[in-house]
Amino acid sequence: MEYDLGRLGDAGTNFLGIDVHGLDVPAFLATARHLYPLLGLLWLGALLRIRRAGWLLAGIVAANAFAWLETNYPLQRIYAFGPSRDRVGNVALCQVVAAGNPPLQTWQVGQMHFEPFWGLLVAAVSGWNVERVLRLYPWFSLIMMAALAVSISLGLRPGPGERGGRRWEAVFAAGFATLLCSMPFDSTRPYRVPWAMTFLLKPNHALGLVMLPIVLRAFASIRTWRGRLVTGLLLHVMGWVFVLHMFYLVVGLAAFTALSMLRWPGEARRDALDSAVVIGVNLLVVSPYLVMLVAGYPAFTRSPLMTLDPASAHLMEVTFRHGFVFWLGLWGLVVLLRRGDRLSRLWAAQVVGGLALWLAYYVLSALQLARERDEIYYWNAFLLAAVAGIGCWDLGGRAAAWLARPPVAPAIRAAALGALLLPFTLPYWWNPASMDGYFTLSLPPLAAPLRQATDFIRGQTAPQDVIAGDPDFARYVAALAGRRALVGLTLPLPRDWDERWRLQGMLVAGPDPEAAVAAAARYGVRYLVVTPYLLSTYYSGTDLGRIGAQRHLQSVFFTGDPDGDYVAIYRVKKRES
Amino acid sequence: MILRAGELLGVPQGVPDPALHAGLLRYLLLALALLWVLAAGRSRPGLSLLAGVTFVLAAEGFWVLALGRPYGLFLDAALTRRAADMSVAAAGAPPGQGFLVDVPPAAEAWIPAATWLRPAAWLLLWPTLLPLLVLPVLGVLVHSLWPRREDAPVAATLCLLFSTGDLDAARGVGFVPGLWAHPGSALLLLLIMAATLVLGRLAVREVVATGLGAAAMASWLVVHGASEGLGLADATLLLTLDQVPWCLLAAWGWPRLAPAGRALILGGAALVLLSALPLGIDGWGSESFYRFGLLLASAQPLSSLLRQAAAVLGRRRALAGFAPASLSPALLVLAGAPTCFLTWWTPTRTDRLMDESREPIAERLRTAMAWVRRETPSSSVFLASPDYAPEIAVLGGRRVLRAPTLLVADDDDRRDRAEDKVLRGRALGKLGGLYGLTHVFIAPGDFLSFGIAGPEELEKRGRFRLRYRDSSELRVYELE
Repeated sequence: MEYDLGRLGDAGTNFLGIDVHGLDVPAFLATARHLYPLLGLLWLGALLRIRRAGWLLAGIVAANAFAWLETNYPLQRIYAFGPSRDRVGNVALCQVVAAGNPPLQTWQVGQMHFEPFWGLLVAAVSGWNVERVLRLYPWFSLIMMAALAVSISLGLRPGPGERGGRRWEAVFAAGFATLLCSMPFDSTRPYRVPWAMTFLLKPNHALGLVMLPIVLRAFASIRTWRGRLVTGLLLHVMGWVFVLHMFYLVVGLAAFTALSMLRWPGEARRDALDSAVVIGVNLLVVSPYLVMLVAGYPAFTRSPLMTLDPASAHLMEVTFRHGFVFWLGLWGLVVLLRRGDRLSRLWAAQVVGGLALWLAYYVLSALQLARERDEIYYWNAFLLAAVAGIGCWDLGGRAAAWLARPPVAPAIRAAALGALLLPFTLPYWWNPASMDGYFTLSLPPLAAPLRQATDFIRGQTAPQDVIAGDPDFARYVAALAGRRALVGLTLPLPRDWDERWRLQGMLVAGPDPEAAVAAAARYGVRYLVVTPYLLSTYYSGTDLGRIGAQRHLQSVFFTGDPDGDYVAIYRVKKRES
Repeated sequence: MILRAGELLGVPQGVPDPALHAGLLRYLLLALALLWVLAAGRSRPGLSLLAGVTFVLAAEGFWVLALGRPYGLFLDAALTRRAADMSVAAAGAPPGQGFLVDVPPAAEAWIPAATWLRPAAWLLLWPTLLPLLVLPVLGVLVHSLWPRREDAPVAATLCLLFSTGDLDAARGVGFVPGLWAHPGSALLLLLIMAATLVLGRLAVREVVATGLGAAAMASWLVVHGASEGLGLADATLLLTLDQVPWCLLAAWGWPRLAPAGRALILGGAALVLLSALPLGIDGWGSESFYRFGLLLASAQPLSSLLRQAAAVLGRRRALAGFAPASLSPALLVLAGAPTCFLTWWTPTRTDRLMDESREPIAERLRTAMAWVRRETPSSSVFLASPDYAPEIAVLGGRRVLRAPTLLVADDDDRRDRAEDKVLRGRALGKLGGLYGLTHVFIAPGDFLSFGIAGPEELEKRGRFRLRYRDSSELRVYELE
């Protein structure tokens, strides 16, 4: 749409409030790529003196932050806001909650929402302030990167009595999961760059990944029925965060049980009981949500688009595509299975379960039901990388033992491995200008008419007011002003879709003003947004002049060129009592 | 003229289609890798080399077959200029004449070679086909000439699999991705590599052999690169971190490294540093020498590591039938081939010219230009619009008066006046005999600024004799 395309060179600030419209972006990115190796080597050098796993973990978080800042700094809008429909939609879902509307509804008035957790979280963090959400939203990506690194390092930390070297191994797993889950030319592949597509684009999904180590740790620690109940409840929370991740984890638990029966028969009964109870508790608590989800989401609607991409070598995408990380991940799997403790088996089973799900997509594709392929791909990519970190640490230890007597301190091993792996970490090769299709499109600020119109709506309308009109523009109204829409594109169709469009028609074309006002009141519609797109696509028989003459409408805002691009806002007059 | 590699094999246009068949390519490469593993594991070095060459040819050949035209033709001015000069030279233009009448051709080896390249119908395709052979030939050279014979299979495998890494490709100097932009200099690179390998085997002191090899690489200085240079920061990273783990293995193997390997590393590093400066030295070849040097240097230490791994794995019942010496190259292929750059290379997503070259040349244009080549004397000079002048030169093999999208002659003002007079039907006067204009090529929409509403208008303006016309109103007029 024209209104979401600003121009490069227009004055605008980035998320830090810094004017970057004159920034030489290619030079900025090149400088960042030259600086990173230097900073990385210095950090690893410091590790040789400090000799704490926490320092390495801090370095991993800092490296993620470096790439995050490098990507977001030049942007004069929220990353992918506009170029990605997902992005606008996700921000919209949060904003309507921040404006004070029910969290169980989407930005399409009266429609149930499948993933209310994120919107509630964002609204709470922002203090239920729509403007603050826009300022804080870029930071959520960084928070999720840091949270995942910390979560994995804590989730895999050694228990009492275990070797201290496991602490370093856990940090390595965290480093691999965040910095080595992606390869330089992932952008040329069907699923693109996992790091960017998860943390930058969908931090809400990244939260599900953050919960994975926590749930697995809780499961590994189960000793009593209370533990089973708590773990089941944790898993249910994961379902609210991102239901697909909950499902993947459940499949991993099934794989865990199967592995126990095959190789650890002494543990099988306990493992099966724990899995059954945890999954059962989860299903019990989350089942109403699942019913709502199945009823409202077209998960079982076949479509020729829901098949595997013929350009993708499906089996190889989650294996050989990851290069040396795949081989290290395979070794990590061996290490975990040989170790045989409960936590290790859980992680190994998650990898096996993820691969099994990936294979199952052949069947789903044949049924034209292969939805959310990217989500399972990312799940597998992060899992494989985490386990590869474990494999790498183990191989590093063996190499150190072979090369040096006496044994090398863990910090020295970590620094050496870190230096070796530095060129393969994302910030070393990351060039968003050529590797991220959303980056360049996110450089210019939002078009002025869009900002002006949504500023008006945010400032001059009540939070509960519903906006009718352009169903595509409605996404921006929701995302930038926190107002719900009567009809919106990109969301599943509500049951009363036809009735909503009839109301639209009544508002735009009349001829019965009283009936239009009455119908509008039923949905809480107080404003009508008219754009060239609305008229040319849906109401080509009318024009601004005729709409403005409608007795039930009062013009309250206009920006743009009436013969070109514009946004016109009308207030729906209230029913006379 | 054959313009598509697929035509040589009888493969229809649109096959292979990357959007439909890239997945199959990856599986094919996996299968070829497994065959390579078997050949290597059975101590059949010749067969193993053949399998490796086949792997490389499949990985590269898929993308070449997907092209609908020679790489970059009519999409890149420099590549199109070269093709135009080649075509005009092969068609028998007078010596010293390039595609622009009375302008000498570019000083490129392809142009004189065009007169003897056979088959003639493949002329425009050679710069697209020859790069396919560079890496396989290089692998054969290394396999044949590497002095440490026990490491030769591993050395050749390393060169075939790891000639390009993700990091140097991301920095714009990847070996395989750069081949099609350097078709002629890739052959020079091959010659230099061969010379270095041969010189390294001379029965002289190692330092002398190393020096001779490094000196051979100085001939790369004649290849022009980007004038601004790579930049010192990029060059430093290319020489160090971008080459992990090869730089580390090479350092380990340095004491026992053959002179050719040292020459490539030292000479290549020097060239990379020079290409960092704004001296116009090509960074692609410089980095390639350095990288191949590191790979060759890694062969011995890697062989040693692989033998140890093979000794451990050989105790497994499934692998008991393999000798450790043959298991080690097999392990290298097994680990490397499915994950290497070549297997996952998608040039249509990273190389604009590779992507846009998938579109074939319009058939009506090919037919018209075939007529021009067949029915007009080789000394003919055409007047054509900027949209079609390149096609006249490249596909028709005839010189043109002006082709501003490719090259602007020093006397372009005078050529512009000549063009104006011809198209307005005026007498050429002093310009008459200057350029030897013989024909006009005109298509619908050409020369509108001269008041020519359609091709048929031209013959009303002067003494033009219609010689060719097709259903889309592409026309050729002869000047009377």
